[in-house]
Amino acid sequence: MHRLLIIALSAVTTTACSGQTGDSQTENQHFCIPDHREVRIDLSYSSDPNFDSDDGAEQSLQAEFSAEEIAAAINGYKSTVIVRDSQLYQGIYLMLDKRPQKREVPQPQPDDLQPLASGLYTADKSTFLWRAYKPDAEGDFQYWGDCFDYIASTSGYSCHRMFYFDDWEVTFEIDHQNIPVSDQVDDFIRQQLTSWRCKK
Amino acid sequence: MARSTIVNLSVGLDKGGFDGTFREKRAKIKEVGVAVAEMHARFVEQDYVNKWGNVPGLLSRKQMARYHHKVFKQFNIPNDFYGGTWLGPVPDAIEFKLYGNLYCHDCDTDTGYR
Repeated sequence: MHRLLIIALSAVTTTACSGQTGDSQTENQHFCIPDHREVRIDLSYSSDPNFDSDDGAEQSLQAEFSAEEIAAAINGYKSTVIVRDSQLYQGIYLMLDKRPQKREVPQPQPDDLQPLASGLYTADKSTFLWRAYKPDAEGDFQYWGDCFDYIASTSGYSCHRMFYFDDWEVTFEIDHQNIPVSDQVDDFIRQQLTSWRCKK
Repeated sequence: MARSTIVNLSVGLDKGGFDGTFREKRAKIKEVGVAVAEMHARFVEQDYVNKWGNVPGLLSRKQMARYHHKVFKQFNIPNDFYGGTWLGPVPDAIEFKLYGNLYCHDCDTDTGYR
């Protein structure tokens, strides 16, 4: 039954559409993401009680950009970083989820926030997950993303950057070395999302 | 790590352009394993803190797929390799059935664990 439901929902929400870029693409949740960008997740196999529910999964999307594409588009973006002696490619795996996803973010007092070298601020960096904030144009601190120090590494961290686009929550990972150009990364992604809106 | 997982990652690294000796590849596969474990811990923590899904801290199949894709991308391993084979056109549903379990096909049983 569950499998039939997902297949039926896929049929309703996924229809071929003409492209704006000439690429083959599929309309999905009102986005026309080029097929070479979209990452599909197959949930048609039988559900497993060892996992949490996939409720709402039909209202989510994934897309990807290679590290080279981002580095070519954004001056100063590092296409690779070294973590634990591993060279990691810094492509972007974009996750889109329909709002509202439950996210209760505490709003710390400005005096409690400490600046980081990357331009972000945090109130407490001692926990595994620590919240990052960034001042907006008015100087008010806005939630920016969830960050984690690398495990088994003497330094470095990466963040799960989050922002809203229309009624979508957009999330992607960014290494601390690329956070100084994160505004440009945000702009790049917003431009892509705008270009992916299906033309009626 | 199960032998099938090691073979899968080995082929995935090749597809992604990895060019190293046997010893270097073995080290690289271990790096992938550590990175997957780290991303698993991050997703569980975010799920727990944000109270996502029905059970905080318990991941869904979509979350599992996403964090594997994220890590594989860092090592240039194609997304298709999440699922158990490098045959892109084969649906994950068939791959997971073939391999017996979504994630823990090499895990211990829960007997005696509370």
